[in-house]
Amino acid sequence: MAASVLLSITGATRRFRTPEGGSVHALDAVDLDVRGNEFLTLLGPSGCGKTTLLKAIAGFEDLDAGDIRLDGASLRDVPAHRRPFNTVFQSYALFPHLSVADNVGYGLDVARVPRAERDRRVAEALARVGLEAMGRRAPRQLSGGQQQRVALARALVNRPRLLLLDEPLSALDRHLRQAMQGELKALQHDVGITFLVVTHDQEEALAMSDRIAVMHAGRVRQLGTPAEIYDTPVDRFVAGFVGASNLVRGTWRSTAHGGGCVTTPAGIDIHAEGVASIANGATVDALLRPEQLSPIADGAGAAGPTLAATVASTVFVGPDVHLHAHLADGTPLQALLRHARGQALPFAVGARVVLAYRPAAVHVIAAQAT
Amino acid sequence: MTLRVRPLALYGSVFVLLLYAPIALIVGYSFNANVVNMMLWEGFTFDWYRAILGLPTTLGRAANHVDTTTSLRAAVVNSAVVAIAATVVSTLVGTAAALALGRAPFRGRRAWQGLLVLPMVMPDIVLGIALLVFFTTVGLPLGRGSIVVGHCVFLSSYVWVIVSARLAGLSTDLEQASADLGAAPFTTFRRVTLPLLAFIISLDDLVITWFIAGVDATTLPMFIYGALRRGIKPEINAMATLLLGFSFVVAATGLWLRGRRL
Repeated sequence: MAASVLLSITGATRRFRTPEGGSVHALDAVDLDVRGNEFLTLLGPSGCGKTTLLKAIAGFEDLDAGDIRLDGASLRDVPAHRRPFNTVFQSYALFPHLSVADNVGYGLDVARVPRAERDRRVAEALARVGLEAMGRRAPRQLSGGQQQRVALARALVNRPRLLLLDEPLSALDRHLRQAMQGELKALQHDVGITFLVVTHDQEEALAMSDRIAVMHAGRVRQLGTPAEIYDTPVDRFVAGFVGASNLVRGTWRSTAHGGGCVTTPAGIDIHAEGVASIANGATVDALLRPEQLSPIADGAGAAGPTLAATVASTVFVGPDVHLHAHLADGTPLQALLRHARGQALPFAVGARVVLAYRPAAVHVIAAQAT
Repeated sequence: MTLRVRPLALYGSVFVLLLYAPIALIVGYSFNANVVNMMLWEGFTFDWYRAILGLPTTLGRAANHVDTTTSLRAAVVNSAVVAIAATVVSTLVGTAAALALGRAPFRGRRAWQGLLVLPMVMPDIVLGIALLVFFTTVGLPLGRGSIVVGHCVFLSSYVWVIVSARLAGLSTDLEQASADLGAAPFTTFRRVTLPLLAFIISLDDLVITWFIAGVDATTLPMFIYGALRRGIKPEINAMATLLLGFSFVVAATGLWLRGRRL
């Protein structure tokens, strides 16, 4: 797929007044390109500016500085109702006084699409989300999951250039949410419309997106594919926000070919490979994802480097067992064990454990001044 | 066997009893056949109701009360006309005010909101005198028209309060969704804001407005006050009972509508 730029956001800035009389940046000079036909997710904690950015794109929020361009043309003076985008609202925002079919047909009615075509497209859109039999119902007669599908159909029926989804799955229960993640991605692939999703749920972002923009304090901290974001986060915030992580601070000593070692103040060494452009002696964070640590009871048979730790607790969550341990200097580490049916867990609380890892699985992040 | 009376349940029972005992008495008296002293039970009769409705009664001795029946019915009609007119006009005026103050931000909004509350907290007598002076000054003849206008002054405030609360509860998401789907601001107002307001307000809140309009100071209560000065006549009991029944029906309808909303 050609990576042509559909929407170009440059220097987008939005300030809000605080009650104390100061001002806070909801958006702080955000640059972001949205490509044609991609599934892009804005991921971040609440208050990071992701919803403000979505509203600015939809036209419900003005920018104090910067610009948003569609196909190179500025949207600054284009009101929301003239932008070729549609939104799936977090609350769904279905019109309670209209039937499901009239909700879906609203955009077509407003655009004065001829009756026959309007009815055909409404029926198509409802069929696409599996609600062909529900057209005559009132929105309140549908379940939350069905209402969400109506909101989707209502937006997609207008064939927008860009579909904006504000926390689309947050109101659904866990099972439905996971099913809908797959459906949304399949739907995006089928209709060939660019999806821009806002979410605070990192699992959701990883599961659905082509690319993820991780936002924090009004800025895009990292933009990349889910694997890039997960494996090579650019800073402690991204590492901590996406996935479970063990971050161990230390001093970087490089050896050869990008290899080297992070040494903690207590003298514990964590070996790493494939690390580029970090100066010798720099303060760094070593990122070890829990699933990259293999707990071995007696330390026997470990091929690579290991870390000696003490078991603090074990938590059984079904497919996995979370093993919480700490190093000799007290640094907490989390490791993941596959649960094997019928086998007792070999790690008692307080027992010694050896955590084996591959140096290539260690990601080293240069620590910021902050 | 121990009988445990919870203090709150006891308090609740006494409260309801005291609230409804006088009303129950009136209902009872309205069926009492004693023409001279309604406190003494003399037998069951529908005559007082018949008298109100202009039907022949079996009590010839009650003839001296019949002269009031025509004016009583006129008062009821007046009340209904005033209540309906005032309800309709003030709903329109109050809703427009709520929309203006709730959805279109402009300078001095809070001051306007304060001024709108005033007619509700102002003592009735002050508002009444002010209206009288005003009507006389502008030369509006006192009558049904001036009563409707007077009612609209404070009823619009009530409507404004009710609609404002609803409007605040009406998420701007819906209006944004309309714009998002390509509707220009006026289309959004016509196809979403207005129908939704009508959808959630007119039904049960009209009932509230109707109550305030009909009960507070209409011609029927004026008639009853007047009649009471000349001594309580059993017809008044029948009239009160009918009004009571009507109020129950209206209130029940209001509650029912409220219950099935959204």
